[in-house]
Amino acid sequence: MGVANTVDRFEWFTLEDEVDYYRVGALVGLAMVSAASVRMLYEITVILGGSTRLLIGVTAAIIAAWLVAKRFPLRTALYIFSGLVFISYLWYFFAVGGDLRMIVTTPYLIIAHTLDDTITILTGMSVLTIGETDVWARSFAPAPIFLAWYLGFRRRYALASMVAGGMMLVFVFSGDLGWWWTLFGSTGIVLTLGFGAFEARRASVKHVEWLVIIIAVMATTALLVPFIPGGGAMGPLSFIDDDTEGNHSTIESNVVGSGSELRIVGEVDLSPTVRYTIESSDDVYWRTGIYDRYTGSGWVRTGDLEPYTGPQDGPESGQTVIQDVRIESPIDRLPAASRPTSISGMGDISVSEHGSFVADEQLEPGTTYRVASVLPDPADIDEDGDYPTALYEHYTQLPEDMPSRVHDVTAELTEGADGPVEKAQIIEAWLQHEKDYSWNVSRPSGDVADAFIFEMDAGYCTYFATAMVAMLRSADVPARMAVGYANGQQVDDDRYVVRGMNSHAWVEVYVPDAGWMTFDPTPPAEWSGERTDILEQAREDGVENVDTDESADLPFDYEPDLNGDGDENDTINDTDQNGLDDDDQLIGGPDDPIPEPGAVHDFGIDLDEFRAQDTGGQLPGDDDEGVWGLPDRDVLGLLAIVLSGLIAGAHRVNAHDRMRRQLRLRWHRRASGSIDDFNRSLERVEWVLASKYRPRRPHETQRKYHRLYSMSHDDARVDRVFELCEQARFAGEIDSQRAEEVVKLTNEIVADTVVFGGRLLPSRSNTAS
Amino acid sequence: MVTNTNVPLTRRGWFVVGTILVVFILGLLFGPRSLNAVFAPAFIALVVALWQVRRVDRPGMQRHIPEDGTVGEQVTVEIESTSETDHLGRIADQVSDGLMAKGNEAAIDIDRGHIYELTLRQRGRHHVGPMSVSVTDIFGLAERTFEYRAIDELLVYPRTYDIGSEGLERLARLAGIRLHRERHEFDRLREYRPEDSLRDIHWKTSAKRPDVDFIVKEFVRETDRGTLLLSGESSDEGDDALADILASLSTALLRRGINVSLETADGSIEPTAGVDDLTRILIALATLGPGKPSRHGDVHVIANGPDVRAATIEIGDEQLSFASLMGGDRSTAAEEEAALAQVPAQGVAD
Repeated sequence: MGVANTVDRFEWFTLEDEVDYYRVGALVGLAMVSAASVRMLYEITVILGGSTRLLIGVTAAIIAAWLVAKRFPLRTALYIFSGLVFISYLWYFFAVGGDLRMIVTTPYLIIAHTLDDTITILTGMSVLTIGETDVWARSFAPAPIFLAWYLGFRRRYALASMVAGGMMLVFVFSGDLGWWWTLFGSTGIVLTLGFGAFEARRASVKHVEWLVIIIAVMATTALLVPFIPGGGAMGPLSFIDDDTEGNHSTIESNVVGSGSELRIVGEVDLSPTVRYTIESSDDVYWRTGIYDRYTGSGWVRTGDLEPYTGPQDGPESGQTVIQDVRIESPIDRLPAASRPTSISGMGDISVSEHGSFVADEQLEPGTTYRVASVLPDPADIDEDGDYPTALYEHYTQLPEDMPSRVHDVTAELTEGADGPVEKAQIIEAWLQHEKDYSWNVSRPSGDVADAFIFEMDAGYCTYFATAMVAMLRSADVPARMAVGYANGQQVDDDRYVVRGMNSHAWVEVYVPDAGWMTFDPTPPAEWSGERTDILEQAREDGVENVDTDESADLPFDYEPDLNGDGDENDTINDTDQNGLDDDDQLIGGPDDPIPEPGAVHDFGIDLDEFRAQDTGGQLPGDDDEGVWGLPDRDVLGLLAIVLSGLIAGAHRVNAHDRMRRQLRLRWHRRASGSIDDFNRSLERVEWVLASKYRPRRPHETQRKYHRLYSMSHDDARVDRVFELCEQARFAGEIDSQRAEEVVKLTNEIVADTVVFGGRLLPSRSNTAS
Repeated sequence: MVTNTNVPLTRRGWFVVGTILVVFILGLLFGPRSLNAVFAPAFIALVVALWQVRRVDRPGMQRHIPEDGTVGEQVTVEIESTSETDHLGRIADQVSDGLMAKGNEAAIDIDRGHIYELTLRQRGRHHVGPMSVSVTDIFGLAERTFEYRAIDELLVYPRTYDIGSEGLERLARLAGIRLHRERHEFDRLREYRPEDSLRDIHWKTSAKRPDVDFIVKEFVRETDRGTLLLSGESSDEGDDALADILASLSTALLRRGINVSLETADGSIEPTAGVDDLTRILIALATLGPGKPSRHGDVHVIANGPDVRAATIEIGDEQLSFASLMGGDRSTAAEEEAALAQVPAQGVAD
């Protein structure tokens, strides 16, 4: 290609002529691409902490780029860039716990790990699933920003957009960057390249029009044409996506079926399909996975899956529960009580970092396995014990923009409570009493926990669990959300039939020296009735696979009266799960603040006090739902783009003039009594004849044209019009009578041959040919 | 003539193709995510690029360049667009050795044409062209190149140094000729007479004297002029210097009313009537090569190196260096003022 597109030097910034406006345009485009990436990084650091540091780093990088661009050539900048990359990698490396020895002895491990992270991202796993994402975000950001802006200031726009675009692509591949922001970034690249080309060539302004048209076409196409096949092809207009967003996924698919990311949704359906038959000595919570990172709008699970090679470590003392599970419909989840230690009877299994089992492939109905779980031993609880530091940091993470009133209400609620167990019990009880159960809710905007506590009256298990974890974490208690199945239909002693509608989300709290203990803030009694109705309806409708042989004849009689005292308002039986006998509580006594199950209790909290608080500016969620599932402002923006494209396009083809001409040809309302009438009539008649006969040739006189026409056509009106026009033009015979006549005749001629607003049709009358 | 292969993508264009292929494949394998918002714009850009570049007509381009110039001078070359192409592109105009071009290869908006500077480094017959113009789309993804074979010639005259009046008079004395007074091409200014050619009107002065018809320049009559034979020889490295010196001497002598004949290795030039002599001499000197002439003139220049100051001039038995002849500038404005003072202050009473 030879010729450089730009001159590689720095210029002072003056807005003097159009070239400088082009430069502004190109840099605006670069800002747009950068914004897409930086926004993503900012979101990550809001969730995980360090957002201010990120912004400082990015700003410093841009300023540095400006300074270096003033004087130094590309090679220097590349050296600086390489240095920054190296430093950032080192910084991240040490932050995730590497040490110098590792570099020397096992370099390949490091490379393998980096490759692994890269592949993770490329395959669509959110960057939040990587270990120390916040450190990664802060260390990764400055280097490419620096290089991209250096190149931008030096007017190497193609390279700049490559660097900035590549940075953005990371988040597009990982699935973190939403459709709208991706389009925003792509548009930025287009603007940078376009205006960059204009600047280098001192192009005239008419090219900008073309650029606007192209951008409008791009935006519309990206929205409407599914180039990449798959559910999300229609971008934000997609309704096909069954896993997350919007249209009524089942509770099971949202809770149990989410992979490493769980997005909290609105209304959910309950599925009566049978999943498992479980034989288990205790009625425990059968966990399929946990989520440890709260984003404000959902959950992310960090950590990788490792192949299962044998029994895992569990709590040292504590009761062992054996569960025999038979799979009743195809699924890959392997529910087991916390904490599962060994599994048998299965082929390839993987274990997550948090101890849950996952099958490598979907399992067919009829498959059975046996799993052994060790429950925590409440005797190990050490009220004055400390949390392991890393665990504490990890499981008290909360987004920076979560409103502080969550912390405040928790503080007031747990005043006087000692230790994690008391706090957990209080919060659990409060949520059960304070909120109602319903799966018919709308997804709130903003932080889900805050919204549920202060603005919603009811929700389902995900909301309860999320709120409780958020409250615990704000009180410095390590906690996480667990998902799985609970409370199946009891069909025999120790046998339970578990359905999709039994999928559930609850809370695990770390208690020093005893490990993770289970709590469930969802009020139990309310949800049983509706499940019964659904099952009975499904049975009536003959829906398949809602029963096993054992359950078919039994009513779905969820029996909340688990401790047999005849009271149906028991709390969910997490006592079993926590290794206790029925009547024990974890910690109790006459003075403890934990209310009796079912008792009316005044917790002394007035939520209105907190509602009045300013929640502080929150980052609007990426997918606040408005019209079509798009946020309203984005719809406006899209419309603006399309509109500008149309305007530019219309201007380009002179639509305005063309339309006017068409109108003038088709209608001539009134004679003005001047030569104008005759000229215009002649033009109109020629227009008609052009399609009916043939167009007049460039050098052909009108007289000759008319003569040739009349030789093959017998058209008195046309003849008369030509005659009038000639007399007007050459003999000066212009008066109102003639003018009216010529206009009238012409109107008739046109009316005969022209369909309203449409094409010319051949005349129906007197064509003698 | 289109010189590219069937698919006119540039390197950048292929890069974009590669990128969207990767995006497409990853989207197929691992889910579409928001990749459509990356794929669609890139795809549209490629489609538009190929369509634009395919259907573009050969742009009409016209080069405007002066026919001649002097060594060291800077001339402007203008490439004008004679058609409406509505595209961006690149231009590459070749220049021959001896011309230094700045901006002859550039990215342009084709309809706006292009202007670049040419510095005339060496004397001689040079040419500019052929030219190639590539048409690209806005983003530079596709291009088509058109060749323009038209070549323009540019004749570069040798440098003319000022010869100081002292030096010139010394030379004249040695050569035995009489110089006219120092003046410019024209002798004096006087009022217009009917038989005067309109070309001789001195407009500047006429404008200053509106009450008088016109003021004309009067030239020195041919018969008043002396003649001198100039000759010169040079080595291979000295031909430029020789040309410069001969040009300088010829200019100075002609200005002082001496007809000059030239004798060089390339041949001889006899004076003719009129001021064309200098032009003919310069044209000849532009392409002067090294060597010895067939005969020596009254004034014989020897240049054996590229430095004009080192050249020697033989007049009869005397020898001088050219350096000793070189002199300062005379203000042309002052000359003109002096000539002006000779015109009668009032109108001529007639």
